[in-house]
Amino acid sequence: MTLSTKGRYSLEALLFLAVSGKEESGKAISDATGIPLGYLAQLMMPLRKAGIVTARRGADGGYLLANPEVTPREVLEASEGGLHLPCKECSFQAECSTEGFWSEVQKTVDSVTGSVTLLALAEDLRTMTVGVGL
Amino acid sequence: MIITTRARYGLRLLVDVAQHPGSCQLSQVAERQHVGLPYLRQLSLLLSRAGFLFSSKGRGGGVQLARPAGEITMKDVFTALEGDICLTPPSDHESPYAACLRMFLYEKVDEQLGAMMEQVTLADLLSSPKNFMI
Repeated sequence: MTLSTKGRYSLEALLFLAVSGKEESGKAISDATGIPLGYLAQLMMPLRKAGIVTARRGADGGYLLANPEVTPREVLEASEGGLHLPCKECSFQAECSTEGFWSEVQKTVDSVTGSVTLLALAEDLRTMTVGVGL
Repeated sequence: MIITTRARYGLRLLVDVAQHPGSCQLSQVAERQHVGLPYLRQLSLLLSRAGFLFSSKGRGGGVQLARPAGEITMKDVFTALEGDICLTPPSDHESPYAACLRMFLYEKVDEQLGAMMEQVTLADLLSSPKNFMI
C-alpha cells in the first residue's frame, strides 16, 4: 500500500506553505520541494476546488494555504479521492470477503492522517531543522 | 492510497482457498474470483514459498492452506506480498518537507497499519467479511 505521487507531492507543497505562513509563488514552492512547476499547477487544481488553497493570478501572484489547521486526511481526500480500491464498482461485491478488511485499512490511515494538522507538522519541521542546524 | 493488484488478488486467492477446504484447483479459484490463471499461478507460487499455501501437482492436486486460517495474520500476508508495510518508499534525495512528513506522519501510519494487520487473521475475514470490526 502506498501513497500516490499526487498525494505525497500535495502534502509536501502544502507543508511548505504551512511553514511559510504566507502566499508563495509556484516557483518558490517548486524550488523548495523539487516538485516540477507544471505538475504543481495540476496538483493545486483539486486543492483549490476543495478550498484548501487559494490562488492569485498574475506575475506577483501565488498560492496561500486557506487554513493551516487542515489535516493531511483532508488534503489526501481532495487530491487522491480516497482509497484506490474500486470496491463500489467491483462486480464481485456481493461475494467478496475482503471488502471489510480494506475498509479497515482506510479507517486506520484516516485516523492517523486526521489526527494531526499541517500547522503541527510545520512546527515539527522547525524543531527538526533547528536540531540539525539548517 | 494505492492498493496494488498483487495485494488485492493475493488476498482474494488466500480467502478463496480458505473457503474451500481440502484441495482446490487454481483453475477453479480463477473462475470463482474472475482472475487470470497465469497471474494466479504467480501469486500461488509466492504464497507457497512464504509458507501460506501448500500445493500438490498432478491429478487430484491443487492448493490448500499450509497453516490454519486463524494463524495467518494480515501482516504476514502483506509482508510476503509487498515487503515491509511502507507508505512511501525511502528516497535518496528528500526535501526537508518530505523528510518531516515521513518521520512525523508516514511512519506513524505504517506503525498503526502494522499493528492493525497483526491482529487480523484470515479466519477473521472469513467469519465476518462485511461488518468487519477488530
